[in-house]
Amino acid sequence: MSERTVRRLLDATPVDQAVEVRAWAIVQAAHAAREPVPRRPHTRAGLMLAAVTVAIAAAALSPPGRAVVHAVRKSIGIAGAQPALFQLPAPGRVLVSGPGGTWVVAADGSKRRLGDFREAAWSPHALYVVASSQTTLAALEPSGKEHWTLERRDIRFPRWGGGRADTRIAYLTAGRLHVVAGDGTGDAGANAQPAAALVAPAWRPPTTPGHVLAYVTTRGRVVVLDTDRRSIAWISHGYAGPQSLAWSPDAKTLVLAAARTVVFFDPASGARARSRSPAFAQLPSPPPAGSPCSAGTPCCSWPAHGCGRSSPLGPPSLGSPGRRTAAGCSPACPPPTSGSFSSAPAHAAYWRFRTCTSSSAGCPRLTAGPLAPSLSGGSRPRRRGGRQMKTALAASSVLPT
Amino acid sequence: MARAGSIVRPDVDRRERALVRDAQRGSAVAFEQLFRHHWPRAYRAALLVVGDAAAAEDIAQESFLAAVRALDRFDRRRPFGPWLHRIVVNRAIDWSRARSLRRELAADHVPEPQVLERDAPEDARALAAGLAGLAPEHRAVIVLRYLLDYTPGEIAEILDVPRGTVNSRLRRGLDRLESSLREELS
Repeated sequence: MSERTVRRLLDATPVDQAVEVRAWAIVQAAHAAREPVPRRPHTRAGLMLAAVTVAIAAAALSPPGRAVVHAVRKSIGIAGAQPALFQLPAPGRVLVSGPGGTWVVAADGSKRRLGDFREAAWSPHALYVVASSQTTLAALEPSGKEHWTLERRDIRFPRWGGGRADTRIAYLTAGRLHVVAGDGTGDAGANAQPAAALVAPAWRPPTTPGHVLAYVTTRGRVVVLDTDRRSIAWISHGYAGPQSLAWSPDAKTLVLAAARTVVFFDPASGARARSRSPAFAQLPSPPPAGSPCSAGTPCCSWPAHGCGRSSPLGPPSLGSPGRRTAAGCSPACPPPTSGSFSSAPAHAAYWRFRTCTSSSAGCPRLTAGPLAPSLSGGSRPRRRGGRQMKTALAASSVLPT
Repeated sequence: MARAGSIVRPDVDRRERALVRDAQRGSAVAFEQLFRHHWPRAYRAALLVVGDAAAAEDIAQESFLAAVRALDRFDRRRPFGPWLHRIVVNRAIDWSRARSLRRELAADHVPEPQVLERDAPEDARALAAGLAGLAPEHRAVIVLRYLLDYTPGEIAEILDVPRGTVNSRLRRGLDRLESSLREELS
C-alpha cells in the first residue's frame, strides 16, 4: 500500500459540516470574551527604555547591586518582611482563585498555577479540582493535569460533591443549574427547576446516600434538590440579597447568609430553625504568639475581615472594614478573593481564606480567617485554639478516567 | 527534546501571521478566517485518532478553545497549524487511552463508537476499521504524517518522543493498516 493511497484515504474521510457550525458558535464566543492584546509601540524611546531596564536589572543582580537593594529595603522598612507566603497555618493545601488564575498552594508556601481559571473547588476528598473559566469547566489533578473539560457559556460556581465512588459536580450558566458526573459525563441542565441566582450551590455532605444539592433561586428562595431523582425536596420563602449557602458537616443544618440575616434551616423539612444578625459570627482570637502566624507577621494578618469588604466571590465580610486591622494588612486592601483549604485525608480543617495585598510588602498574601457561615457540628462555631474545625467528610471519591 | 515551537515553515504565509496578529488584537474576522482554515484538518485528525465522531467534535472544539486561551502568548513567527495540531493530537491520544481504561472498568456501559455513517464509501469505512485496530499512538503518527504532512522529525517534536520511536510507529502502523485494509476490502 503506497503512502499516496494512505493520504488519499485519510483526506477522503467524510466530516459533518454541522459540527463546524456548532464549534464555531462556541469558539467565537470564547474569542470575543478574551482581552485583546494591545498594540505595542515600536518606538526608539521604547527600545531605549527596555535597554535601560535591562541595565538596571543587571546591576541589581550583581553583588554590589544586591547590596544596594538590601540597603533600600532596610531604609524603607522591608528588611524584616517575610516572603509573600512561606507557611500555611495548618497542614494541607490551599486552593486560591482570582482574576489572575487558580493556584494550589502547598504547606511550605510553594505554588502551582492550574491555569486561567477564575473559580475552582476541591473534590470531596481533595484528590481533584474542578475549575472554570468563562467558557470552560475542567476537572484537574492538583498537579495541573487535566482529566476532562466541558465547554459552556458563562460558567460560575463549580462545586464538587458526593460520596466514596460516585461524585457530582454542580455549576451555573446564565441562571441555569447544571449537574454533571465526576467523570464529566451526563451533563444535565436543570431546566425544569427554578432559575438559579448567582450564589454558589452547596452539596449536602455524604452522611446519607444520594446527591442532594442546595441552591438559591433568582427570587432568593433556597431550593433543596435531589439530583438523582431530579425532584425538589423543599423550597423556602424568598430572602433579600442571598450571598452564600453552607451545610453543617453532619448535614443536619443548612445555612443561608443573606444581606441582612443568617438563616438556619432544618434540611429534612425546610423549616427555618432560627435567624441571626450578621454579628453572630464573631471574629476569632489571634493565634498564639510565637506561632508562624503571630499577629504582626505579614504571612498571617489576623483577622482577615479587616482587610476587605464583601465580594461577589465569597461570603460577606463580617465586621466593619478597618475595625480590626492587623499588622501587615492595610485597610486599603483591594477586594479579596476567596480560597478554600484542604488538609490530609484523615480530616479536613475547613478554612476560607482571603487574599490581601499590603501596600508595604507589595505582594499578594494569603491570610487565614474563618468566614461565616461556617459550621462545625452544630449551629454555633466550635473554637479550638482560635481555629475552627470541621469534621471530616467520609471516605474518598474517585475520579473515573 | 525540542518543542513544537521549533517547527519552521519558511513558507508560512505572511497572511497567516497577519491573521494571528489581528486575532490577538481582537479581530473577529481574522479569527474566523483562522478557524475556517484550520478546523477541517484539526477535526479530521481528531476523528481519525479517536474513532468517535462525538469525542472528535469535543476534542477539536476544546483544542480551539485552548488555542484561544493561549493566543496572547503565541509567537506569530511560528506557524499556527503545528501549534494547534499538537494540542489536538495529544488530547486525542489522551482521550483514547482513557477510553481504553473505562472500557476495562465497565465494558458493558461503553457505547460503540460511531465514526462513519453506513453509507460512507467502502474504502473510507475500511480505513476507519483499520485505524481502530491500531494503538492511539500509532494512529496519531499516521495522521500527523499522511493527513497533516509533518516530517518524522516534526512529529517527534509534536508528540515529544524520540524520532526513532516515530519511525518505528510509522512502520508498524502502516504494516498493520495495510494488512487490515486488505482484509476489509477483499
